[in-house]
Amino acid sequence: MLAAIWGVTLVSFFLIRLIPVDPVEAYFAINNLPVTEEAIEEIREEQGLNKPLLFQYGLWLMNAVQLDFGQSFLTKTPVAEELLSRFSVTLGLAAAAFFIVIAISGIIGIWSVVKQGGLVDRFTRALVFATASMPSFWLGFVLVYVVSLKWGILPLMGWGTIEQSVLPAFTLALGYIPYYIRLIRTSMLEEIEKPHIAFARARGVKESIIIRRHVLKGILPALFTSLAMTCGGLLGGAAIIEAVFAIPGVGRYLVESMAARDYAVLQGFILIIGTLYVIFNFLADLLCAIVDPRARLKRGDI
Amino acid sequence: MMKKSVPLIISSMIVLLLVSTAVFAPWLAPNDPYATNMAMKLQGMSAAYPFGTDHLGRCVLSRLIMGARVSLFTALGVLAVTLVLSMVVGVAAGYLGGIADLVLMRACDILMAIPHFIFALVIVGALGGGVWNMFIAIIIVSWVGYARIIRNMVRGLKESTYVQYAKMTGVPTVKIVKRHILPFVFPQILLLLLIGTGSTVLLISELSFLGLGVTAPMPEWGMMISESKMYLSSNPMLMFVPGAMISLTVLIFDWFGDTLRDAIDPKMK
Amino acid sequence: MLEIRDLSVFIQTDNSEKEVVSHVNFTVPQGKIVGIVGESGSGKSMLCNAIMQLFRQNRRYTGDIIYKGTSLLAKSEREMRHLRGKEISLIMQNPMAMFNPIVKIGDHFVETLQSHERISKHHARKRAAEQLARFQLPEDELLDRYPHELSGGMLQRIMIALAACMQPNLLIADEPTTALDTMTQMDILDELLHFHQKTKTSMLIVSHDLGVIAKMADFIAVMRRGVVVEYGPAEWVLAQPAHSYTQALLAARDEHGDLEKLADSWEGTTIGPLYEYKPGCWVREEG
Ligand SMILES: Nc1ncnc2c1ncn2[C@@H]1O[C@H](COP(=O)(O)OP(=O)(O)OP(=O)(O)O)[C@@H](O)[C@H]1O
Ligand SMILES: [Mg+2]
Repeated sequence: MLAAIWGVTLVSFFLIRLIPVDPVEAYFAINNLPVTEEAIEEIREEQGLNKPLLFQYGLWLMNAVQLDFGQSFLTKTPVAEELLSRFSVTLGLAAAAFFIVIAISGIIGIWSVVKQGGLVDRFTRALVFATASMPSFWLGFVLVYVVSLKWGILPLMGWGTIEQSVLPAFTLALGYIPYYIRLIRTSMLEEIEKPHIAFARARGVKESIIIRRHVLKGILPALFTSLAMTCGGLLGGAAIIEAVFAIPGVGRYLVESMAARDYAVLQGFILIIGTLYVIFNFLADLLCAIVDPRARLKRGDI
Repeated sequence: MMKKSVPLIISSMIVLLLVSTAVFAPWLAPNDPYATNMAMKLQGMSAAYPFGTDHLGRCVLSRLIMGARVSLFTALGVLAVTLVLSMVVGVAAGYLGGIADLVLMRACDILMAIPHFIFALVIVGALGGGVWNMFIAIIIVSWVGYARIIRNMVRGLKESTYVQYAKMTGVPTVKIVKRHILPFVFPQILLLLLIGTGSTVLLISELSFLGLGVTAPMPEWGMMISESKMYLSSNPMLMFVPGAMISLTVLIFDWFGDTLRDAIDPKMK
Repeated sequence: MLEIRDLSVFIQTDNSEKEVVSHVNFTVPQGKIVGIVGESGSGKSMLCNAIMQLFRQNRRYTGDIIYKGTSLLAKSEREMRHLRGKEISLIMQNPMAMFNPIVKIGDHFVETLQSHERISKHHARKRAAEQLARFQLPEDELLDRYPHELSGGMLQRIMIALAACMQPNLLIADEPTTALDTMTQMDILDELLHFHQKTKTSMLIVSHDLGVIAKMADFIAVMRRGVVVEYGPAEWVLAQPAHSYTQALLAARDEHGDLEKLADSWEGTTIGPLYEYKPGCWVREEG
């Protein structure tokens, strides 16, 4: 896992730095400052950009480990503070969506299997097709228009109260719900087909025990692995949803920083996202190993 | 066989229709999509402006039709470049192994650690906005995954008896690849790429929505939605219509991919 | 006690139906062992599953299965669940696939017991341990093990213990010894016989190996392609086979019957070092 995180630091740093645009010149261009040699040199000096790249990486990594992502070009304030405080908003939005996804798709998915609903299957298949094709930001606006403007139930925009978080979280979740209903349904049906379920039935084991102990437990590993991927997707999706609902999360900050070529922000952001992603996957592996004893033998590297 | 190809024929005709709309957009558009007319801003439907006008008095229908160009041309361009790039690297890595393979697999590991959308977002951010940079960013994000799929396919093929046999009898490598590897890998990857085109269209609209893709005043669906958000309560159509266009386009490509897959290989899933 | 009357089983697939058991008649008398022998694919497992009424959704039955005077075909799924495992138990083919790999052995017992009677987990575990001990299995070691940690032979024994844990009236064993080495086969058959003699449980034993059936059964049914071609008391069927297929089976058995006798007669335990009894061949001394 540490190796993976180290890989992420490499990407975060070099990806941004290897892009053939000089951040300093870009900065001047964008802010309409007069480009003079001295001015550029001054900024370079200030940001340590005149040192060798590898040296810069070492320095950046040392600081990053201590949660110091450098200074913003734009505001001259530390990036980490701003990034982390906004990130907590995004994380909250993504987490809310995450639980909505699990709750709704779990209930419908399990219900459709237990009740043998062919109708649910056809319905979710159509829903997957539809939601996969709709841009989430557009869906957000449609929901705002219908729920907030027409019905006047939920607040329009903003962030902070529970009511304000319902629509964005739901919008974000909606794209994943049909997918998870299908995932849960098909993997449960697959699990039910397994011979050991037939043997459990042959022993007269209660249907509720079969569903809980055998079928649901059996689909957990696949579910965990999928959810880890979804966590990353939700964070990315949150950045868009924030723009729709005017939520002061990291997405907006990122877009503003991009406009200003504030590469320290970009580096810090990728580092956080990548690290989180690695951690999510590690957690998923860990949970899989807890559920499935056979997975324990293969894994176990940190 | 005949019955099965009917959906494919219909879906490919619709795709063709969509693409020709994009190609002939300047002639199809009823008005100049760039012409602003503040006197006529935020108008409803009329004969002159079938979908009304936007906040600058531009014809919405014309902008929709022109918008098809950006989405489709970029998406198809991404498809073409990704196809070539991932084929070259994937086949090289899969067949030759060694350094090429190692580099590809490591690149995969690392790139997989960052969600596609965020990755594209950051690359565009670092490069600066604009269609061209968006195009590059999407390719960077997507080609590696396909290259890995090809690499795994090629590896499997390499082990197959007929390739082993060809090798043993001294058929030159280039010929083996041309004869036994490419004809098998190519259609499958093309199919996967076609199925993935819908999500490319979505990615384009998302980046443009955030103001990182297309730059104004060029018409693009995602950006049209972004521009119309101030007028959501008074002119909801401004926002509904481009979104519907995006959905429709994605649906069409998804469906086309589905029917094509069914026609080629009904077992594949 | 169990009576199969003109039973046919049809497997329903998407758009077709396939008859896998055809007009089968036989009975399992109280306290007796009935053996079914037949080649692979002859419908033996289908018959066993039919008696248990498993996979009801895609099966169609004609004829009847009478257990203790009532028809199993007419029973609801709820009623069948109460019968399964408690009145009629099934040991299924291929023990490696029949245990849930992510559930401990002990929990397989606990859930079975708890499905049929109100019993605490603690007590259920104790009963499981007793049951394993009854089959000479190391109970304290096994309860917390996962299936993949155990050998096929061990799982087969556990499966028998598990199927027998509610003291069923009828035990159906579908190929209890297939995929096991010869010595383990013998052990398992001995255990089943031992269990039968102690409890007088009626049994239905299925195998493609006539030797196994000959060793165990009081009555023998010979199956081929879904049809019972011969059925009768074991002595008769073995001594005077009427059907040519049975005759062929018997002839095939006699060819390696000597080997089995040799293995059967072997009763010692091995002790001592290996010694070379002729150049290149090694054997262990018997005690
Ligand atoms: N799901 C299924 N769909 C269609 N046919 C099936 C299915 N399962 C089994 N069959 C068919 O049913 C017939 C009987 O199978 P069965 O499993 O009862 O054989 P068996 O006598 O138990 O053989 P074995 O000794 O290999 O266990 C076979 O011809 C098989 O092809
Ligand atoms: Mg069988």
